[in-house]
Amino acid sequence: MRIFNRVNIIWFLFLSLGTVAACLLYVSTFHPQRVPVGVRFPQLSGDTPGYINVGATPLGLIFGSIAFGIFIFAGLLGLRKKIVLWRIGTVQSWLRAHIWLTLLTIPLVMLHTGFRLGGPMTTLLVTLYAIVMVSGIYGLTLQHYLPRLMNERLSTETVAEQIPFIRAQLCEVAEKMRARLAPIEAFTTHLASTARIAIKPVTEVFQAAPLEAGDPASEAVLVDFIDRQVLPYLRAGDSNRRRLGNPRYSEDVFRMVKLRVAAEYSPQIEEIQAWCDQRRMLDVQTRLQHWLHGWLFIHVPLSYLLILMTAWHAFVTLFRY
Amino acid sequence: MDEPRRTQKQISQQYQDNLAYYRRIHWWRFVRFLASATAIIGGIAGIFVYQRRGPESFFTAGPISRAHASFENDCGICHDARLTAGGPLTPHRFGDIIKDRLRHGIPLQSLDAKCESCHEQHTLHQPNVVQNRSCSACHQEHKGAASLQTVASLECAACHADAHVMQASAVKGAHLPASAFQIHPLRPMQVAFELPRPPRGFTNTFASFWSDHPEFQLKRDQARDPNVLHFNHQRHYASDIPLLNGQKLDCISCHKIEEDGLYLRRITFAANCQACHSLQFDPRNPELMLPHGDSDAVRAFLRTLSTQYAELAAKRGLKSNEIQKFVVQELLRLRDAHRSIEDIERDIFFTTNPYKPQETIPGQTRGSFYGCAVCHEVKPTAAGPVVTKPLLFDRWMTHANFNHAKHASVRCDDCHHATQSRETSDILMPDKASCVRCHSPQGKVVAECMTCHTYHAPPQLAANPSQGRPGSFKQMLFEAKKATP
Repeated sequence: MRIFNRVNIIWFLFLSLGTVAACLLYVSTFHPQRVPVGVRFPQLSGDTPGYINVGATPLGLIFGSIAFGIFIFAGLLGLRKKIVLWRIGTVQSWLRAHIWLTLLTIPLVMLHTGFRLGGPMTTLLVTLYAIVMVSGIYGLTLQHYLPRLMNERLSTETVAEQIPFIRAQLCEVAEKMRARLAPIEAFTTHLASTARIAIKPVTEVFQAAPLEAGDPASEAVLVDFIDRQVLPYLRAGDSNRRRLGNPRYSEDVFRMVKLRVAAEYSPQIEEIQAWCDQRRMLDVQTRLQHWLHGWLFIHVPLSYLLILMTAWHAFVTLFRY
Repeated sequence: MDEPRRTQKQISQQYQDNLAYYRRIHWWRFVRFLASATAIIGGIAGIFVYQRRGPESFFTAGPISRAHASFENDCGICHDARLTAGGPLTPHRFGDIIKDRLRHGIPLQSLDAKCESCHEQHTLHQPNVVQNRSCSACHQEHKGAASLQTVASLECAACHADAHVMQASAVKGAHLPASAFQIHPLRPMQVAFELPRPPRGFTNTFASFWSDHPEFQLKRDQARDPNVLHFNHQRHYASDIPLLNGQKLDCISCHKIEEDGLYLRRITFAANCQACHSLQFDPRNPELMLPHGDSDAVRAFLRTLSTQYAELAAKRGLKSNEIQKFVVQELLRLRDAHRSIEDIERDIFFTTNPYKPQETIPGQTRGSFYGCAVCHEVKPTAAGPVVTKPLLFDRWMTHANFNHAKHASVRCDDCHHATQSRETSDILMPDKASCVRCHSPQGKVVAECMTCHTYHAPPQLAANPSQGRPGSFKQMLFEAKKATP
């Protein structure tokens, strides 16, 4: 989600005004001597004027309650995403509200605490809150920059959930092509006589019909290339360590293979290169997807934990002690 | 950047065998769901266990003060950990409690009751306070080991900076007798100078001492010292004043700080004046001194002068026939100078010019006795001259505390300006500006309310607020008026 766009200006103004209003109320209630003479604000210090344990005063409780309400609303974003047909605003509006309202909780929580960590429970809460907020802001930053990066680096972005399927497809077509090529044993004698290169035997038996007879030497090179580099690359779970994962190396290798085979095999080689390029792009996308969504592993569970802990904190302080 | 080998459409065609992918949970989502479920279930379990068996100190709002450290782990001594609702938490009661908390804040009454179970006789502020504050409002626990007695000015400003609160206090105070208001405790036998309470009491609003704290009442009302003693501070700093114990006369020559460093000892003739102003009425016999403090004793002394001279002669070791001769000689000399005993008495009591030239006295000796009226108010009566007893005050600003020892680095005259005072009626107390020079953000010396003021009334007054302050000037005047027929 892009932060710097026109729609967010209203939200930014809302956040700024909310922060200023909260700060003014805080200062007028707890530091009245700093308020210019004649300026009147509602006094929300309750029955204990000047009580510095801010969280226990009506104003502190109001700050805390609003922040808690925003936490709950923010937690409902997951539910809103699940229920696509829920007609209470678009998911995008929810996300915007999620971001800006939770940003508003920063001043609210700080003012609620009175800039103190307090005891173990409140320290734990503040720590949880800090982790959730930092992870959220980190995720927001990634969400702001990574889609643009993906757009630049991935010309053909794939639906993220389809990536394993596409990768399997690529692997399958490569294996089919390998099967259509002449069985490697037919050329072993020829290759041995020419003694140009040593070729490993292929253990797998392919059911596909072989290609029409062509240049045995070219096919041998192609088979060798597919067996030794392409298939391992396309089958690999983590292809980053494979040499074809490097675009420059890949480009060089394919150029070299083209030179070593007859011209009529060029379309096949280009097709293989396209598969490898696509696989590389899928890998890049996967990697970017990990960055794009990895922070949620911290943000989401700890958010729920934060809501639970905040509810407990509210219960204990409002109804006990 | 990799060149696209296939169009988006071509790629999308690849999905056609996997269109039900959205029905399957992606392993990422599954792991995230698992982590969230673990957090929620673990959190609930943790809350359940901690609520039942966890140490109460987990809920503490912060480290406890040094004064209460002995029961740090026994929250029940101060806190009533029962459910506030005092019964089943029905939705209706839940709503009521939430509303109450949002309107009034967390209740501190139960805490105050616990405080008072140990801290007895801690009365609160002045009787015109509209709403007394909770103990916890000022003495905030769980803020570390620091003393709970340290109270921020913010607490005072919560009321004193609020015009509405002060107005309400002024209205309430208008119906209360002045004796109901409490001043800082005085020590036994201390005499305090006290001005009448202003009609609105001390209800001016202000935010800080250095900004808009009212001028001290003594200065604002231009109060005068009612003492009848004649004293000229400026004269005592003059260059022609003889040295005292080899040193030039200074403030501390007379004004000594008490052992606790707070206030000054009361000035007495014997301790502070006699060294210079001895009562040597006869320059030829300086050992012979008039008694001090009682005009009857002085008159008795003068009527027994022959005995006084005889005693003096005996002290000097004269023989009996020489004593007789000495006494006659001295009495004749006095008669030549003053004609009669009545004249001597009148001269001693009523002479007011101390600076007439006395050629018989060497220049650098102590100032001799010139007459009671030099320093005292002396009234002639049918029974003889009466010296009005001077009224010396120990405390001038009874609404505030002061520690002279802490101000040892400051010259006395910087605040009291005694070197410019010629009249006894000058009250040489500093004005607010003198204090603000240091006690302000510019002066960088602490200027909290409690630097000078005390919030709580003294316990003995709390027991009977209508009782006046022992030793107060007002009480003295009141009693004197009552005694007068």
